[in-house]
Amino acid sequence: MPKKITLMGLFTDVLMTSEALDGLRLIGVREEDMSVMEGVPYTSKMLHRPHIHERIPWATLLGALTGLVVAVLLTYGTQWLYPIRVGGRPLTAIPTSLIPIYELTMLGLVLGTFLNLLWKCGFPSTKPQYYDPMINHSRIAVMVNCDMRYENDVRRVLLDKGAERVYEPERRPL
Amino acid sequence: MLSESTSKFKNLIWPHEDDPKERLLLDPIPQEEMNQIMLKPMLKAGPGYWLLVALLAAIVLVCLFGYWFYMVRWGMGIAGIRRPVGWGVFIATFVFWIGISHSGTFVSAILRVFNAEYRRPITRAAELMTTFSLACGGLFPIIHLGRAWVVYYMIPMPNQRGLWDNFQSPLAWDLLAITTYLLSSTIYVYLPMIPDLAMARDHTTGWRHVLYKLASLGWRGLEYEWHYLHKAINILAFAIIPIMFSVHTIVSWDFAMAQQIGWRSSIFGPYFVVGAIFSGVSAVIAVLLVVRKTMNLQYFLRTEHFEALAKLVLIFSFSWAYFFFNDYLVEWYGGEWVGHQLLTLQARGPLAPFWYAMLFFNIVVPWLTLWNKKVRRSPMALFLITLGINVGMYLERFIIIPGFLQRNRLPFDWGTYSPRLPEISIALGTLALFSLLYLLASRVIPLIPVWEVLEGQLSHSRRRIGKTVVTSIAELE
Repeated sequence: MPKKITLMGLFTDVLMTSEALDGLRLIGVREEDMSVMEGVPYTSKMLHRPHIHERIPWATLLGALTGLVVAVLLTYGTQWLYPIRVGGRPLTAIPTSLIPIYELTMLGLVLGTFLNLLWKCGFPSTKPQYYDPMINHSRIAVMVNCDMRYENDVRRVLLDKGAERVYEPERRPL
Repeated sequence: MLSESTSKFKNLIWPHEDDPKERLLLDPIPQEEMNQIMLKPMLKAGPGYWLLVALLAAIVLVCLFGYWFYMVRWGMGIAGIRRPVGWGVFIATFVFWIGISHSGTFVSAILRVFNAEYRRPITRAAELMTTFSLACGGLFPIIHLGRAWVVYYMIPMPNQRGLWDNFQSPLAWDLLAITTYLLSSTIYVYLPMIPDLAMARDHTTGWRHVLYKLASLGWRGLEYEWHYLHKAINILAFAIIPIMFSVHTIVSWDFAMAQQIGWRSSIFGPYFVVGAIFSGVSAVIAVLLVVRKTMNLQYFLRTEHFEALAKLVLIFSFSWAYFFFNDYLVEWYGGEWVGHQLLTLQARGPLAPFWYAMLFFNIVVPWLTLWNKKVRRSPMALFLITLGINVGMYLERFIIIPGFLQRNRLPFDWGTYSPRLPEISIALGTLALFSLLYLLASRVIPLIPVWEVLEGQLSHSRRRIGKTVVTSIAELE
């Protein structure tokens, strides 16, 4: 199996970055082997990258559903299991039950969204990673994972498209 | 003919070009310079800061916790609450803090949903106000219990007495609503903070580096990280708005669901929500003016932001007055004898000074001043007006809660209410607690979302149309 190498190029401009990505595609680098690190959220259109498409936020809906089930169990289940009859009032009334159901459903939705973000991004991440703090200095980092045979081609493309610096980064604790 | 046409142009004012540098989003500076403006006051605190922290901590210890433990030891009788006024300063202050908590959600979530670009530098400072005011307000149901150690009765778990929460009670709804709002707003303030915490991680050493490293969760600024973060923030912005509306509606139902005269009003839900946003946005202005001055954040927090918020305050003053008059007129027109006793209590009785002060601060002052651009652009004037509004809104809660309880359908059961030292002390103690939490947070949490400001500057540009240059805002997504 050919040995892999990771290279990082630092750019100062989003146009140069997108042209570098186009150049890397031309020499055969796959999308999944390219990553961009930025301190400002440039969109996938600006960088000419494929959009991460997600039709329905499933985790958000799952969280809301969990909240709904918990709320129904609390408002209806507990009253039926341990009924305290108060004269003239229904044991469980729909209008009053709707309020805790609504609140816990929304809480589930929010927690589901938060946990989904943690899961999708792999947070929290404590192991050493490839990273360059220069992204906090208006730089955009392009990280390329490629065969060692193509190292020179990748370096050439990055430098030709305006990279300030191209180097082999080390995994570092963040 | 020539002299006539010339005279028509005598009083005309030629429009002058606004200086684009006055606007934050048209005044970009290097990212690292922005980071340093943000980090410098966080990393260096002068002796004045520590003196204030010590003073506030002392007030919290003595006025809040000291008097609270004193009350636990000697009983709720040392407070001023007696029949028929079972809810006094504690509950009024609770409602006040829950109202202030609407500041962050309104400024951050609603303005984000409506793409109001001026929200960018002020969202986090406002959201932190939400978290800390909820923390302060959330103390009061426990304080008001008296026997605070039985607060666990509110948790639905099996026990030998077969006690369960009554989920048909507004007080149980309150517990759920405030818990939901506190957790949601904490997550909502934390998520957009992650990139700024990562920036702080890269610029600090020692205990701060460890803290920011843990809090930033390993953020590296990869495309998919930004994508999922944006998605989560958008979902939360939409979700937290109905939560915000529901919280203060449920708090208002603590009163509206009762049979008490003056409380039983179907207008209470929206009346309280509008009042909450009114006091919340006013509090944001007051707090941000202090933050700007003490932390030298003049680059980020500009006159344009305060002017925009002041316009919102004026609109909400109109809205609050509408709901107030609605509530008042229905009671006045209804003709019920005890209802008129309440109105007389406010207009001519012991509540009169508070009532007129409330109307003065909430209606007269904003309506006479905030229409004027010079006033909206004056920090001192805005600070005083917004402080006055918060005083007025506190008085509104004081009138509605202990004020209205002084009258009911049984004249033998009428009473008067005078808050006592423990109540006043505990209420002031929570003000000190809010200030202390905010002071401490300002030295640990980056108050300005630098990445959001950068994103805004990316989308703003100037272009020529005809003889003038106008600001153009691009849609980035």
